[in-house]
Amino acid sequence: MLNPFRNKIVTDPWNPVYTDVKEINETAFNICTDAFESVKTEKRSMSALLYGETGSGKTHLLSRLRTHLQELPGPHIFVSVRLQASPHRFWRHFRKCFVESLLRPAESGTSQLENVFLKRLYAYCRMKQVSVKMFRRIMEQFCAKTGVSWNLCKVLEHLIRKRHRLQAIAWLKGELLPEGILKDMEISQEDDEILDPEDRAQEMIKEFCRLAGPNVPVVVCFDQVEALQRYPKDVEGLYVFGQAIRSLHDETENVLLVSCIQFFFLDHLKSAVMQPDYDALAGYLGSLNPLSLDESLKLISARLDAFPDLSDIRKELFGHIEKSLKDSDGKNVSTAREVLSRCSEVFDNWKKTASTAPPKSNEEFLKEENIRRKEKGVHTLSPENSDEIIQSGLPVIVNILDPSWKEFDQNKPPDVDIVLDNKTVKVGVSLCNQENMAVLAGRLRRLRADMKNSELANLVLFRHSDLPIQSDAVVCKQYIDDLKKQKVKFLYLTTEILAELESFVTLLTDARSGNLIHRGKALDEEIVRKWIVNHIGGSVTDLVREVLTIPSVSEDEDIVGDLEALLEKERVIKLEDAAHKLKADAKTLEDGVLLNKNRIGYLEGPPPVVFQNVTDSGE
Amino acid sequence: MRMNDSDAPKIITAGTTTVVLKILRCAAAPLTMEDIRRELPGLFKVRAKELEHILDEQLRQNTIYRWRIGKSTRCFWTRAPHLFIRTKILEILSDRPRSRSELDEALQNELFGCSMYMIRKMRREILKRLFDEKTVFEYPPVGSAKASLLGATPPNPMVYLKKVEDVFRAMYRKLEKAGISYHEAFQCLHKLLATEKADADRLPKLSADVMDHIVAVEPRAGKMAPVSIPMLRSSMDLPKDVFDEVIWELFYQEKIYLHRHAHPSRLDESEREKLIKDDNGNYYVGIVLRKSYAQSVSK
Repeated sequence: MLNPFRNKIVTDPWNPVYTDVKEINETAFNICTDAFESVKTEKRSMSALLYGETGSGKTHLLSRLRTHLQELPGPHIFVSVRLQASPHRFWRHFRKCFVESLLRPAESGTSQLENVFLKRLYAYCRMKQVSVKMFRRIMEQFCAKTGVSWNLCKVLEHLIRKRHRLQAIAWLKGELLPEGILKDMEISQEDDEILDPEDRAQEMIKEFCRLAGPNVPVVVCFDQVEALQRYPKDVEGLYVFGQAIRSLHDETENVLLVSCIQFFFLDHLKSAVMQPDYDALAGYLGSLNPLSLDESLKLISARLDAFPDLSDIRKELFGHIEKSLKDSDGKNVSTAREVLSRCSEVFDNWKKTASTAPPKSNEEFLKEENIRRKEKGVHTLSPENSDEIIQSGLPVIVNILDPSWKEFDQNKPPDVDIVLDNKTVKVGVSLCNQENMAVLAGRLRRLRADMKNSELANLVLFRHSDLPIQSDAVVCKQYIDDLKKQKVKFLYLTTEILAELESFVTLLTDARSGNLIHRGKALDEEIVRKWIVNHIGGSVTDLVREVLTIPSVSEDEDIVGDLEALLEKERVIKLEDAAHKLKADAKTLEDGVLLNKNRIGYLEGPPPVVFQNVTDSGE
Repeated sequence: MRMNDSDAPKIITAGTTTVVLKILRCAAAPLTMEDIRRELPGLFKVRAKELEHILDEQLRQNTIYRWRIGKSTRCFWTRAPHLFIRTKILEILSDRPRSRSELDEALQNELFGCSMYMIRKMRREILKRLFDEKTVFEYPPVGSAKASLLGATPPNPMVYLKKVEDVFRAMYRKLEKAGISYHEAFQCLHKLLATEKADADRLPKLSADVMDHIVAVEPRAGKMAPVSIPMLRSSMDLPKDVFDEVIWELFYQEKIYLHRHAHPSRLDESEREKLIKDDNGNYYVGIVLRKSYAQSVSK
């Protein structure tokens, strides 16, 4: 018999609400609907901050709000953003989530985006049918009047006409498309050098809001604000979040910003953001409070009603659970999730359906969850996800493995996406996953120029293994060779490594947000952090090692590598003879050997002799 | 209309009434009309109707009182039932403390065959007054006894605090080995008890103070804005245990919601100290005023 209290927790506002008790969190819900009405009537953006304990139903409330808004007359846009992002790519993550929400179907079956765009366009021209030529003229006038860019209008036209659909979506999400595709789509390339990608993403979101127009409210729900924290006491992500909210609040006129946060995190949020940002964030305040016994019973009753199969035993079962709750109810404070979890246990014991297998330990649960997430990642991740995963995940994982390393948040060199700092040295990572070779070449050229005066002790360029440098991209290859000579590492990353990294990071951020549930309880972040330290895979630690290992100034990797290959054949050889065979300078070779004594055996001489170091492998 | 001689009331002289009152005053128990007529000397003998008239008149003047004994409702005595029973209760309880049922049984022996129903009814009324007057005292049950006792003197605290004394002496024996003198231990106990008493008296006032501070710390508290417990605590100059007790009091009075910290293990000891802890190991980090109370505050 199916346990009616298990596995029905809303984890995404887009999930349907199976059972809903209106009285639970009614005040917080009314605050959201009041704020929505204010946006509509006052024609200005508003905000609501919802707070409650883990499992108090914040995401459920967002889902209820989405369902409620669908039933209202008049169009609106609903956007959901899970804030699992690096502070340095907040707007890009936001843009991606915004577009994903816009592409979800509206009431008419078409996507929210197409629906709103067509309605707006119709309201503008009042024509049901137009020729292609006239459509272009109307679009030009529409752009001028609404402040929406020509590029966006053109991409929307492709979407409506079902041309270049995948590329149009990729462009909307902020991905850089190859030149040929951009040309086919008749849209211009945005210059990476002039406009920061974050600014570009911010501008695009504001454009989406302008596109909706003053009469169509845009409801943006931010869930898991805590996940913006990369490591304990980190404030940068929250600061950026505060600035972003204020910017949207002040510079748009049709947006309702709903942010959900765990209660304990409020003080931290307040101290991390500027006061005007907090004021913009918390226009309305809504508390999701612990349930009373009466509310708990209503929740249970609603759950049982949703299972007609249980009608025969409903009365008896409800009585049994009610007694159990009353017996345990003292000064207990219970969230909806805790009540359901308790009921699930009571049901299992009552029906004797409890598993005879011993419950999984935290360790077993995390191991299984990690495998599941990793496998899912391997099948779903694509090169386009690389930048986000590396930028959001690498600083977190590096800090877990060595807490002295933190991301350096100020004055990063251009084109270096991540700078890690341990107060002694700084190392950098540049993400080079551009499909457009011209854009990639531009980035490599700038990196090559900047490396001469760089403060970075190590710079690693990452590119996804499914995006090899095209054979005709001679300039790119030349720049990469030049950078390698400046001790810059260029590494390809596989989807497997990205999936592993993403799995570890999402386990941690979910735990921080109280959404990693095992046996009805949220797992503590500290447990997950320790587990990751003990179970992190070799490929991810190799990745971290490549980033943190600083190449010696006098080291010449190529020469030392070539010498190792030579010693495979020769075993022992005079240094001078080796230099001759490798066509290298003897002094440079000696310097390289001295810096790599763990790899190459060396006898001072005279004459100096090098030999194959077999000590470790021999043992 | 002409009245028949035998029916006409005889002219009652003051002497008959005096004799009736004397008989009743000297009686050891309430008397029926028949008893009174039997006791009247020949010179003062009157007919039943005449005696009834005398008794009614005296009842009206409150010089005699009607008693209900057994099935008869026509018994008379110069002693009022309430005052008589009150005296008896005090006599019985002066002897030794008794439970209510023991008292009822003892009263039944003294009340000339009054029904138990009547006795209990009157005892309840009289005891209530005696409690108010602090003439009779109710003793809390002690030891294995479940029923409380009634006594004519206040309960002896020594009987109740004997257990505390035993615990205190046992604890002192442990402390003695650590070099604590009996005097020091006793002073500490005295101080503890004195503080508890003072705090208990202060609690209602402190609750009001805390509510004022909640609004001062978070002006939007009336609109259910969250109030940080560490911030509220630091805004008030109260010992930790007193502050915690007041917050729990407000919680039990259903004036506030308490919200838990999701990751207390992330905090260091000094940070955890600023929160409120319950018996289950939960740490509470914030307060939200309940809707009904928040509305009154926002007004």
